[in-house]
Amino acid sequence: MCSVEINRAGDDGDRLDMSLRGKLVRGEVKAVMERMLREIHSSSNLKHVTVNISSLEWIDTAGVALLVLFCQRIRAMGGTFRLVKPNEKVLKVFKLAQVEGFLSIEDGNDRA
Amino acid sequence: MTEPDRELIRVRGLNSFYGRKQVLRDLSFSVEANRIFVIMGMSGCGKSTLLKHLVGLKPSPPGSIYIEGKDISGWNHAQWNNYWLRIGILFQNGALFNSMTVAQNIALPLMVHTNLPKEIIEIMVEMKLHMVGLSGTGALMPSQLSGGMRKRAGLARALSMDPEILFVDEPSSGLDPITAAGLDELLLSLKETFGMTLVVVTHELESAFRIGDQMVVMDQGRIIAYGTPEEIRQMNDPRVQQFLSRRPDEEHRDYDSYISRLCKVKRR
Ligand SMILES: Nc1ncnc2c1ncn2[C@@H]1O[C@H](COP(=O)(O)OP(=O)(O)OP(=O)(O)O)[C@@H](O)[C@H]1O
Ligand SMILES: [Mg+2]
Repeated sequence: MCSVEINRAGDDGDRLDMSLRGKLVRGEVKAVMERMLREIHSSSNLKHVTVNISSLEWIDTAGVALLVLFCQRIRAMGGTFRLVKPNEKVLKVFKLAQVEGFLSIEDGNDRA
Repeated sequence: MTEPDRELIRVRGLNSFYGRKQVLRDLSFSVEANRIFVIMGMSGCGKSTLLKHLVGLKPSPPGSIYIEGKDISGWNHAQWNNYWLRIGILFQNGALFNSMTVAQNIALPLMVHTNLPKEIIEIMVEMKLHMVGLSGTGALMPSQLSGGMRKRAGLARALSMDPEILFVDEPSSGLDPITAAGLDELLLSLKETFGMTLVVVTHELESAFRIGDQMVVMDQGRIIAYGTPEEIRQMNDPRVQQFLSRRPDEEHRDYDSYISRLCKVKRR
């Protein structure tokens, strides 16, 4: 299972904080993707998106691909994307796929 | 992810034949989860045949191969399909579909077996190509790749479904030493990162000892050594020592039968 929690914040809702919980794996990706994309498409003035993954236990390469896609879409809309607090196992997968730079991963202690 | 130290594959007294010719003799060993198991031996000793049994491409006699404790000789269609979805295979010849681009080859299992959207699959294909050092070659046809590149594309395809068990036949054949070392690193990180179990056929000694947790050395269809790299190195068996030191063996080439064959040719 992978659940998505969403919080809108900031002046006139220009910030979106999401958190992912559970396991973001192949069988979950389609549903999670639809949920995440619906959220960004329903807002007109979105500027900053932060995805907190501190409660994400595990991810496979389909899950990584989803985060890459999501990040691309937000940047294409002119927004900023941050991915914060991956656990050690998840971070290893990002490193193997060599996407940790692209995804702007932060440990998130200072800003989250 | 699978927990380590668990016995994933158990082989007991496996014999194998092509017609009446016996090519595997009484093989027994175990592959533990989250380990790299290396199969070594001279050309023709039966390594690829053993791999065919382990992946179900050649039927095995009852009681000779168990996967997670279950005898595979009794598996039905559904059990095989379930197993095939959990494993990745790199064949010795790479075995790509020649009528498809490299990217389509890698995407194929994902298109057939998952509900993943096309955009996600495209990103996954790029990722797998990057892992094997083939970024940017997705649009090429297999015929446009070198032998070593085709091998790596085959590995990318074997990885497309994030397999729990990866079977690879001679992954570094046709690769220069630097690329081959990079491939060893990749195999090690797959084990480390995904908890993958790997069964690797190779005759590159250096690579075998670098990546192997457990290994077997085969000779003419038999296992002549089985253990950790350290244990194998310390074995006194002359055939093992000879394999490790790579001395060409006069006897092995069977000159007597060669000469008698030559004599037969003359007589005709
Ligand atoms: N389809 C087949 N039909 C008949 N004999 C076969 C077949 N495939 C392999 N053999 C024979 O079985 C023996 C083992 O072959 P196998 O391909 O398993 O060796 P190998 O150890 O993988 O060799 P290499 O290192 O050259 O790949 C060889 O004697 C080979 O000639
Ligand atoms: Mg072979």
